[in-house]
Amino acid sequence: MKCLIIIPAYNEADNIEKVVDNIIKNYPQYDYVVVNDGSTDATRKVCKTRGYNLLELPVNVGLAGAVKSGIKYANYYQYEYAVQIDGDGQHDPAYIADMLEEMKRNDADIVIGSRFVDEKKPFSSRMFGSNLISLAIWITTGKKIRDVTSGMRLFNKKMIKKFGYQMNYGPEPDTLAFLLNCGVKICEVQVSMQERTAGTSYLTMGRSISYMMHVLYGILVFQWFRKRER
Amino acid sequence: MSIMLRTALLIVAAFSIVWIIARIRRSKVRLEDTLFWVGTGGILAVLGLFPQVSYRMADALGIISPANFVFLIMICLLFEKVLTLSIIHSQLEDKYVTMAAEMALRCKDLEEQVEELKKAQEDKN
Repeated sequence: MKCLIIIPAYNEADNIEKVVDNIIKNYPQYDYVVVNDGSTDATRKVCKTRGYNLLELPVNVGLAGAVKSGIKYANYYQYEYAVQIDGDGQHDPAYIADMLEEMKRNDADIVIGSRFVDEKKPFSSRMFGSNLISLAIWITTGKKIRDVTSGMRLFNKKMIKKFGYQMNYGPEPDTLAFLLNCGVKICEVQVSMQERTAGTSYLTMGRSISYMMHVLYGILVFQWFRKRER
Repeated sequence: MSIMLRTALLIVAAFSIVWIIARIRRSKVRLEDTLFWVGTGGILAVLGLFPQVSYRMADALGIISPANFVFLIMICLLFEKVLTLSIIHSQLEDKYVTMAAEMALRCKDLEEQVEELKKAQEDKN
């Protein structure tokens, strides 16, 4: 059973060493690939000097494109499972074992590392957005996903093919809603996440509004136009 | 607003929505790029179905003919599209220059490595 950890990294020179060294040292059972998304800082240099397994994108294509590249890599080297974690160290690879177990036990296609399975959501503007998306998914699919924006997702082989090669399968909540309506099984496993220690997040304040608009449009409108396939 | 203009609006709205749905079903277009056309179709459909909206808005904006308000909306929509397309175009241009430069650098790097290996091989022989 081969499992690949995909680490999309955009200007993560300060974090990437800690993240990858942790995987190499403590979780040698998993393979990993760092997808450098056209970083303008020393990310490439750090990875090269440390000899990490690196996939270099020549220009910045955004998180969705970086994840897609990583998933294509997983398919190319015939991995059974691929898990996406952030390059800033907020996801602990210790939980991957739980996620894999959950996937096998429930015969799930996607397992989300969720902050809110057993724990309650705190009140903040970010969580308000998360709740809004959860609600939209519940209205359109009848199913509950508690942590829709979690960046820690485990895919099986079937999903690797879909996410790697089809259009409009970005690693975003609207894809999850569409897949739920296609009969794909999505589970959640409780994980805890750390706040990022250095660098800046992909999702800046200005992008949040446009992000929310796109995701809600994707869930409430766009998905009904798409052709469903199992 | 003449019945002809209303019909034309409805036809254009229906056409743009049907066309975009067909593209989506065949997975030929990205989600981000459909928002504008679905929105435009929706706005034109509202203007065609409820002419009162145009009358009210024309009144409020001090435009004599409601038909002119419809044209104004269309100009605004097209203006927005041209603006975003121009921004996307300039970003793509920049990306493609970056990509060409990066590819050239990496090819050069690889070529140098191959040359070094060749030399090392020759020295061995």
